[in-house]
Amino acid sequence: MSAPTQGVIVTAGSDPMNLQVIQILHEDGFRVVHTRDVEDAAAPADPQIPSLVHPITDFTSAQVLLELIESTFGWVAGLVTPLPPSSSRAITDVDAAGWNEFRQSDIKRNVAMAKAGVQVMSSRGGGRIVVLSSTSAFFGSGIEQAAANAAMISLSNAVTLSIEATQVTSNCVVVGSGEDRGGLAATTATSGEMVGRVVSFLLGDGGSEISGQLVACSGTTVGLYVPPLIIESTNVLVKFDQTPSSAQIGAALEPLLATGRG
Amino acid sequence: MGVLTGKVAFITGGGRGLGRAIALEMARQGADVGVSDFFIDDAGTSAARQVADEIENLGRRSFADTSDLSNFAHAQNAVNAVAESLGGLDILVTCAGNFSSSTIVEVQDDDWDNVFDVHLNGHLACVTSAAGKFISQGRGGHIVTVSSRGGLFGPQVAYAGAKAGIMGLTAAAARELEPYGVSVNCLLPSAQTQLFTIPASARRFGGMPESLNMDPAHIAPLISFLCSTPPGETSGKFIYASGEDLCLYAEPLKLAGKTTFIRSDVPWTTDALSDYLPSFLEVEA
Repeated sequence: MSAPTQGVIVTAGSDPMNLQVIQILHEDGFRVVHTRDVEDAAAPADPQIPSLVHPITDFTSAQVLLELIESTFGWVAGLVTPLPPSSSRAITDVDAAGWNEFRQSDIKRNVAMAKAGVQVMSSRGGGRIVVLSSTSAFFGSGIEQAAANAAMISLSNAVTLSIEATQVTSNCVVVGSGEDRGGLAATTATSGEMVGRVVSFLLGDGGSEISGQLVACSGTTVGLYVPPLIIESTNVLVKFDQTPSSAQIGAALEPLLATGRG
Repeated sequence: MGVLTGKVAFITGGGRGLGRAIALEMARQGADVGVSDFFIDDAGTSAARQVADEIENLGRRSFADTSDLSNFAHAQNAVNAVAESLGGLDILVTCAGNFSSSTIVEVQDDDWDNVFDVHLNGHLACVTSAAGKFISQGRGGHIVTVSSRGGLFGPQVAYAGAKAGIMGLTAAAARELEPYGVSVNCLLPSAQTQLFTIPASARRFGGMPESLNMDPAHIAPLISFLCSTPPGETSGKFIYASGEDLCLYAEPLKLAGKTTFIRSDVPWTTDALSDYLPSFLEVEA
């Protein structure tokens, strides 16, 4: 497994949360390169963190960006896709233009970077991908940010399943608001520093063997979510139209014994 | 008298496969049904028109739409046209979909854009349009979105991402539309259709037992049942259905909660479902 501290960690995001994550990674010794699509998007305040302006309009432009980073800063060892921004527009206010911009900048851009990252890192012998998502996927308001965050959870899983034969890892950090969502106890609001510490762990030596995880991070709580829709443990019931024979009961239950064994 | 007598439903992707099965079942249950599908065969026959004719032969009113519902303006026009021609709108079921098996390594821009257009833009455009209609009518309503188990653990990066996005928007829409008495639930089906032909034995994703029946018609009564419950009472559920199998998933990212799988030895009917499901769905029978 390549040591990410020796390579470049590619990041993005211009809101305070993502910028704080980037600052933490820098302080923890990672060689971070920030990327943004437009000149007037915020860059990290620390002048030691380079910030490249390079619009990602499609999958090819993401590949070009990573090649540019490699030729300028050295080999890419990790990628952190940013937390999608909040968008709590009312359901009746969602329009095509706003949604399509959101989809391009906050879903497709991350998919494009992950695709380019997988290609570059697998060819280099390894790397780490950390996808940031949010509990807003299932517990927030605003259908746009819910869709985007759920798509990010899916992205991390899809990457994990596609890179099993490589030395690339992929994990998703699901950022909670610090409020009580889904039974996660309410604590203080989740800070960028806390998220940064979790990402730093996954990029560091301790995260080298961790892949395919859904990591909870809310307030000062960190943990692991059960993968959604996977039924390793479930109640199994059979409803008969009328009283069945013992043989019918056996015939019904036998094929269900494998339930939860994927 | 069916459980949907007096209701008006709009089914996207209703010309073939699961959408057609749901449209016809809802008509049998007494609903007037608008059908949208842009598929037109080589002979120039509209799939939506064919199903609309079948619905009318069942004695119900229908409306056929062939527009591309990934376009927000088209979706709004279609919702308005169904409501104007059939007398309002009570039910939206969003079955329209496509598929790409591309992984993160294989996916190309066209693949990704096409899948996200049809699935996620199609859902957003129709759900937002129907939500506006339900709110303005003031009589509540039902939305059933159609996602996939592959959404949160499939390797097909475009398809999975779009289907996960549908799950996310379902959860948010359920929460946002609750004050208006609108239910929003998510179906995760497994059936053999023109879009998905792989056998049941190859679909044991996520630990699901092999389905014994892949006919989409067997899924349709569940949707009729859900849409017959009092609007707003059953919402935010993620329900797998295949043949005689149902599975009520625990809510993703929820610490408590239990997944429950139910198999029937005979095809489900809306009557059987009304006896059995309310306790799981926590609704008044």
